[in-house]
Amino acid sequence: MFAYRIDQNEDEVVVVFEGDLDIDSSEVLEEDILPVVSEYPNIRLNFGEVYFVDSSGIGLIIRTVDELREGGRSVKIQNVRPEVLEVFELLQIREILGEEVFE
Amino acid sequence: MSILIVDDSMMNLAYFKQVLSEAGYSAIETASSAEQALERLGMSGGRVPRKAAAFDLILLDIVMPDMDGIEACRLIKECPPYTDLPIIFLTGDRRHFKEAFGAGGMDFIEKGAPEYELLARVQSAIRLKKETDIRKSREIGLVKELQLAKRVQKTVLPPPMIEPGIEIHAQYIQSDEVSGDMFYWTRIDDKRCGVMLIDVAGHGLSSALISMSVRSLLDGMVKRISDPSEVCLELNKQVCSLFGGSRDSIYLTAIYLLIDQEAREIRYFNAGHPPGLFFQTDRKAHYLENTGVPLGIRKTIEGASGVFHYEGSGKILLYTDGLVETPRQSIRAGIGQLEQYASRIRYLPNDRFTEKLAVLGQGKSDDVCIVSIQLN
Repeated sequence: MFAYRIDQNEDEVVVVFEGDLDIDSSEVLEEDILPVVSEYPNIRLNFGEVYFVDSSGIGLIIRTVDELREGGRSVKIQNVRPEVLEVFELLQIREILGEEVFE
Repeated sequence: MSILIVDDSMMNLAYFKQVLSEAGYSAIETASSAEQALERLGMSGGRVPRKAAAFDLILLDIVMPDMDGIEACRLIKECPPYTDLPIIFLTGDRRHFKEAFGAGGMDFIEKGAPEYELLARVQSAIRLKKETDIRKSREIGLVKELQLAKRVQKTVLPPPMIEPGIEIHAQYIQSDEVSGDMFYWTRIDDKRCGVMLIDVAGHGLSSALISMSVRSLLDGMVKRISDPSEVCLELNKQVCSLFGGSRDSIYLTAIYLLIDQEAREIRYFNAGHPPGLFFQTDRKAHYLENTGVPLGIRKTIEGASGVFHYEGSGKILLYTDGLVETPRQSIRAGIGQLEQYASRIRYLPNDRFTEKLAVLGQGKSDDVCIVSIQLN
């Protein structure tokens, strides 16, 4: 199960993900979420309600952040749960995306 | 398009046959009893035919002497070659409907109904049968292809290495028919071996394609450059150049060990892979943690590597994340549990050791690979 909520204000948008981030989430992320958030200069991805990210999900996160930043957007990832953080650390997302993405 | 009409009334048989012939259905057969129908289907005496007789539809009367249509329908639907063969009941009595549908009938035609109704129902039943046939044969073809692909994939895996100073065994547990996990080892020269385990992100066919293409590079690469830092850089370069143009994020995690039996030294890289576990006699497990990021994500990477030495005998356990990952639970806890269990059974012969660990990998949703290197 994967769902999301988008909170927008003037120059910032917060996407709150809910559920598992895996291969099935990619369509939602690319077709529904990206077009909306890429209108904003500052984007926060809130992982507070994400309990599992698999290897495809990791690829998805990296691609999403890369694409948004290539488009000149600032992206932050926040509220990562401990069990998901372990997977991030194993796959070294910090090293890949840079410390500045995490808060 | 072949239709079997079953009715004990000759008049009914002649009527239905005529209506269907006039509508263009040419291959029409008739049976005047349920028993005769079963015989046409190769089912008399309770036999199960190896191949289905070529019917696309049965029109079946319900009230017949001896065996009735409902019983015949039940028998036909229970017979594996005919589970998808549509059966339409011919009836004049609605009281039979509940039982008739319960027996597996897909539709009914009331005797005396107008011709167009008969033809419409026959047409839609036959269309459904054709579609089911096409889908089934595609599915069967796909399953065969996958099984073949699985065998092909297994043929590239190396057989166990059993030599005086070193033994390597592995277990390969596929969740789908094919997987993106792959292990590889080779003797580089008299004193050195290279051992690699990779896990392509994602599952199934696409991951398997990627892992097979990476596999084809390894022999040349490992024998030419062998040093882990350089193998890591080269492998990353190759994966980026092969798949960098894809819109999907394609990457893999890998762990590679270069074992020097003379110097009793192991150099390794671990690119985003779960830590290898090194068990030496009477010591706590040593974790072969990450030395760098997964391969194929960034064009430029550092290519760092680690090194350690060993004395006496020991085992090095490599595995893919499927063995330790349970969705929504801590993967570090999973690794800890694996360490505990593996530590307890570490004195088993190497092949038994991997077999015992493979039991942990059964029934997981992910692919699992386990490689164990026994150093003496």
